[in-house]
Amino acid sequence: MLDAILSEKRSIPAAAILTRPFIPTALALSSIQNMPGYPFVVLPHPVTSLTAEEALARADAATPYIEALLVEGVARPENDEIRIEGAAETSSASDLAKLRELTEELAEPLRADGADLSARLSAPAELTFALRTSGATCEECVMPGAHLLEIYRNRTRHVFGDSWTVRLEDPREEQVLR
Amino acid sequence: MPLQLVDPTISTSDHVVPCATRLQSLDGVVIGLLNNGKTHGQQILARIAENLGRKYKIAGTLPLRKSTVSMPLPEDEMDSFAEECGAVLAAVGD
Repeated sequence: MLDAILSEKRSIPAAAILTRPFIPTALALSSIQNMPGYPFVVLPHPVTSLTAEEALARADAATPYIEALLVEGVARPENDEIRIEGAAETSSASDLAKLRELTEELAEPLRADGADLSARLSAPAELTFALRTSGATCEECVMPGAHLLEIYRNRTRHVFGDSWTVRLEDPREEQVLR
Repeated sequence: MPLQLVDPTISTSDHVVPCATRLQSLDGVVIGLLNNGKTHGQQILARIAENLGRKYKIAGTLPLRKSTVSMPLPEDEMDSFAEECGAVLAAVGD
């Protein structure tokens, strides 16, 4: 990610490709490098354990996104699995800054219990929070997903507007809460 | 003696650095393939370049493997790499 940013700073357009666990690092790096909202392509994790054929299939699927990052006027395709983070059509750099701030605010109380939270713009005017409880000292000590969703929905709509949809991926639940 | 608390985080300036101007086409462009040496990283980058080459008349590719995973390319290496490339793909094979 940092290499792509350093290339951009040398006026060479770049496309950074990374896997999902590295999204928080990428967002932090782009912010530190004064390029908040710098878009990147996210591949499903992991890549190293894939067969060669599977890895090449990921490359094939990612190609249109790479092209869209490099070439002006090329629209990125719609796809739920491989996506460009930080490049949703309706998002601006200020929206992404607000998103990071909101996520930090909501994650802080969870971290006290060893859990964590991330968020992504999953569609125009739609925010998906992902709860991680694997590090929690007591998984059930973390507030139930339905309650968290209510809080997250209220805060999101306060920040972004009443038309926003909020989803919550809670590993304790079988389905995404909405 | 009073305690002095130090904030270990760094602050960023308000100055936002713009991205490089996007290309009109990849025709005639050398695409740099910068990988960190992890499994499948180079193969994925090469395949993407191959796919792009079917649509554009790219001038070639320039693969480069980083010596360390966790650090960015050294400044001088990035300078010479960027001088030879018209676009860069950077991938993590995690």
